[in-house]
Amino acid sequence: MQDDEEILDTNRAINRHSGAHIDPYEHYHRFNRKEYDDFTTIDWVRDRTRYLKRHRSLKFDEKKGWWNWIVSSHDAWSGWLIVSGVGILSGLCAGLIDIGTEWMTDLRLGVCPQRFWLNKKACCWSSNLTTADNDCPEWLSWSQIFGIMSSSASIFAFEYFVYVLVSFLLGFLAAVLVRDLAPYACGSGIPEIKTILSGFVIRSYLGKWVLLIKSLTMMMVVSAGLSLGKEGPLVHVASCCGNMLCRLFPKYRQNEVKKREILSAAAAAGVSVAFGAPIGGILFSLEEVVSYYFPLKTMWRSFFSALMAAIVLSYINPYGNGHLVRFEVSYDMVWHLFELIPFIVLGIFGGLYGAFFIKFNIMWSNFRKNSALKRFPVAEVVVVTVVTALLSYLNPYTKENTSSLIRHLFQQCDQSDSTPLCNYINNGTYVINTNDRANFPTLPAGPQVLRSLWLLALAMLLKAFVTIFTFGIKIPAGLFIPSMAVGACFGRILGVAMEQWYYYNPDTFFFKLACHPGRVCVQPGLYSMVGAAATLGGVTKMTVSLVVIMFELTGGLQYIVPIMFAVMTSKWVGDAFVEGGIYDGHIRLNGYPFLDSKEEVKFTANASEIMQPRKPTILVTINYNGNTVGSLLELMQECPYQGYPLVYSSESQQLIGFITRKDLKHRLDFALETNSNITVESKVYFSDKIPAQHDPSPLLLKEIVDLTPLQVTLETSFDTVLDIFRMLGTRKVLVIHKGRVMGLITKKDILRHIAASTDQDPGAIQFH
Amino acid sequence: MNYAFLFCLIALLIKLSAGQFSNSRCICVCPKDTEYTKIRNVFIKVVESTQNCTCSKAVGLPDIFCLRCQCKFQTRNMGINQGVVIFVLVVLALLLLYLTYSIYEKYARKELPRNSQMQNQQNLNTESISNRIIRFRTNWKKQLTEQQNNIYVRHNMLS
Repeated sequence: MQDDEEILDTNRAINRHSGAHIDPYEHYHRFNRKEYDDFTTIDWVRDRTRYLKRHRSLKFDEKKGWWNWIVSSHDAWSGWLIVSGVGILSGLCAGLIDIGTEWMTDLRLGVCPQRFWLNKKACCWSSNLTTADNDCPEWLSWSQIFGIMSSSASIFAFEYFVYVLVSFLLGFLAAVLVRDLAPYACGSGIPEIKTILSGFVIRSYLGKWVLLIKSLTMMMVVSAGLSLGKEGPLVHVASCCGNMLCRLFPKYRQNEVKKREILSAAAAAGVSVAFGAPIGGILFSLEEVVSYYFPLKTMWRSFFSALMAAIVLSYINPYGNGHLVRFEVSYDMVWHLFELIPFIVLGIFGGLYGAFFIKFNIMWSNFRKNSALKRFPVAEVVVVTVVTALLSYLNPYTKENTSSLIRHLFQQCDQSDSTPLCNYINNGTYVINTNDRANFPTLPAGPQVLRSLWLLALAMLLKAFVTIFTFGIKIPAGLFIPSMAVGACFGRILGVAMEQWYYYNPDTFFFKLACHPGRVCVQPGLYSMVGAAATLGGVTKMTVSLVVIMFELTGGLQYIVPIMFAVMTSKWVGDAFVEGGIYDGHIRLNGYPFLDSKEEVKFTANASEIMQPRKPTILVTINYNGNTVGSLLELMQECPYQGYPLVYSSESQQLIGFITRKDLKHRLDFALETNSNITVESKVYFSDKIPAQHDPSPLLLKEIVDLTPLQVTLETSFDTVLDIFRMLGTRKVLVIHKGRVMGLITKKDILRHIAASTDQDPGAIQFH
Repeated sequence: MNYAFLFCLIALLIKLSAGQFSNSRCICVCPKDTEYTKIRNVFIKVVESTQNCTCSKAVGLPDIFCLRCQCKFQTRNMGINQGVVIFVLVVLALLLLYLTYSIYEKYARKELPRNSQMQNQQNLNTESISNRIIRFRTNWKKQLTEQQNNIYVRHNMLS
C-alpha cells in the first residue's frame, strides 16, 4: 500500500501548490487543442475542476503585480463582456434579418422603382393616394413593369407566374447555398442547441459560416413563402455569435463547460430578439434549453444578454412601430368568465394539433431519412417551395407573409380597417368613436366576413399540412410562426362565431349575465391570440415561457390568464397523445445523447443491469505496474473502448483511477514522435516513483489518470445513477462490488436503457 | 480581421445612408359612415411639422366631418433599411460568385489541388497572403465535406 500513500501525497502536493503550479493540462493543451472528439459528450466534472484550478492560480498570481492584477480582473469580467457582446451582435443580426426579410417578401409582388430597397408598405408610406391596404402609384407590380395590361386574366396569370418563379428562385438558391457552403445551417437548430448545452460536442455547428449562411438563407426562405418561421433559427444564430465571441477569451475558449454558460445566455438573447420578448427569452432558456448543471449565475447573464439584445433591436426598429411589440393589440377590454369554455376548446384544439403535427412530422422525417428521398435534398426544397407558392397565391391569407397574417388576425376591427375580414354591416345607426373602442358595438357580419372565414379555414388547413413537410427539409426552418398561424386562424373563426352568436342571441343566459348591451362582448382578436398560444404550446410543449412570450409579443397584459388556461389545457391534451414536444421528438429521431431533466423515471433497475460489460465478457483494465508503451498500444488496438479503469492488479481489480483512451493514445503517440529516447519497449509509470536504472527511458503518465472517477455499487438503483448523470454531468460511472471494479456505465448505456424501457429503438442512440 | 472589415462596411453603409431619406407624414383616419368618407377613410399627407398635421389641413374636409377623425404625425428613417438591403445584396452576390467559382474549379480544373499542395510545401516558411488563403480554404473545405457527409450522406444529424 505504499503506492497508495504516494498517490495521495502527490495529489495533496498538487492541491497545495496548484496556485503556483501550472495546470497539468496546460502543456497538454498546447499540443491537443481539440480536447473532445466530434460527437462525444464532455466531462463536466473534469472541466469544472479545471476551471476552478485556473481560477485559483489567477487569484494566486493577482498579488504579484499590477499586470497580473489586470489580467485577473479582465478574466473576471470577461463573462459579462461576452454576454453583452452576444446581445449586441444578435440584436444586429436579428435587425438585419427582419429588414431584409420584409424587403425580400414583397419582391414576389412587385418593386418600388424609385427606391428599390423599400418594401411595399414603406414605398407607399408617404403616398397621398394610398388607402390602408390598397396599392399606391409609387409601387409597381410585375405586370405593370412588364406592361402586361391587356386583360385581368393575363395580369393574374402573369403575376401568379412571377410569384411562383421568384419563390422558386429564392428557395432554390437558399438550398444550394446551404448545401455547398454550410450544411449545418439547415433546420431549426433548437434540438441541437439543447443537446449541445447538455454537453454534446458538434464541431463547427456554431461556426461563422453557419452564422452567415443561416442568417442570409433565413431571409430567403421566409420570403419564398415557405411555411416556416425565422424565430427558432435566430436562437441558433445567437448561439453562433456567442461561440464566436468565446474564442476571443481564453477562459471560455479552453473550457467547454464555461462556453456552455455563455451559450445558454445566447439562447436567451436569441428568443429575446426573435419575438422582441426579453423576459420570455430568459424563461425560454431556463425552461427549454438549460439543464441541471447551470448555476443561477447563468440566469443573470441571460438577463443581461437579453436586455442588450432588446436595446439594440429596438434601436434598429425593424417593425417600424418604434417599439419591440411585434403583434401589438390595441384593445384592452375585459374578458368574461364564460369565455373560459371557448378557451378550453382552443386549448383542446391546440393540443390535438400539436400531437398531430409531432406525430406526422416525425413520421415524415423518418421516411425522408430512410427512403430514396434523402438523395434529393435540393429537389425536395424546390418541390415544397413551388407547391407552397402555387397553393398560397390563390388565397389572400396565405399569399401575404405569415407574420402579417398573424398581426392582422390579432387585431380588432376598427374603422380604419376595410379588409373583408372586417366587413361588418353598419347601417349608420351607430356612431363609432375612435377614441372609445370598447363602445364599438357588436355588428352583424357581412357576406365578406363569412367568405373570409372560409378562406381562413382553408389557409389553416394549408399551413397545418404544408408545415409537416416543410419542417426538416434542408434549409433553415423554424416552426413558431406557422404553428401560431394555424391557431390564430382557428381562434379567429371561433371568435367570430361567438361574436355572431352574441349578436343574434344576446339573451342566452351567459351573455345576459356578463355582457352589457351596446358594448363589445366578444373580441375575435383575443380568441385568435389564445388559439395561437395553444397550438404553439401543443407543438413545443412550452408553458411558462410561452405565456410570457405571448404577452410580450402582443402587449396584452390583460390576457395572461386566458392564455395560461389555454396553454395548460393544450399541454394536458397533447401529453395524452404524444410524450414531449417536437424538439424532443427530433432529438430522439437523431439519437442525440440528451438526458431530459424534466422526464420522470417510471422503471426500476439496478446498476448491474445497465452496466457494461455483461457476463461473460470481462472488463478491460490497465494494471498499475508492468506496462510498456507497446503493451498499452496493443491493448488499445485490441479493445477499442473509450477508456480503461486503472487497477492495482488484474487479480485484485482494486480501483485506482480512470484513463480515457483519447488521453492515453495522444500521450503515447506524442511521446513516440517527439522523444527519441522513448521506444515501444519503454516502461510506462503512472506514478512519480521511477527506478534509478532504466533503459530505454521510461514514460510518466501520471497526469492523465483521473483519480476521482465516480463510483456506485452493483445494487445502486437506476434512478440514483440517472440523477448522478443528470446533475453532475459525468461521462461515466464505475460500478464496484466488494472493492472490485465490475464494469462501467456511460451516458449511452443510460439512454439505451431508457429507450428500451419506453418501447423505442435503443440502436438509434449512436453517440456517447 | 474579417469581422473588423465587415463591421466597418456595415458602419459605413449605415453612416452614408442615415438621414438621407428620413421623412414624415400625417395620417388621418375618419369614420366610414359619412358621404365624404364612404369610399376612402384614410388620408395621408406629407407634412414637415406636427403643427400642420390637423384634419382640416391634411384632409381638406369640411370641419364638421373632421370632428371624428384622428390624425397622427409620424416620422421614419429609411436609412438603415437602405444600408441593410444593399449590404445583403452585396454579400449575396459575393457568395454566389464564390459558389460559381468553386463549381467551376470542381469541374474544369481538376488538377488544381495538387498544384496548390506543392506551393504549400515550397513556401511553408515564408507564408504569403495567398498561401494563407489557400490553407484557410483547404481547412474549410475539409470541414465542409465533413458536414456534408454528416447531413447528406450518413444522415446522422439534423434530419
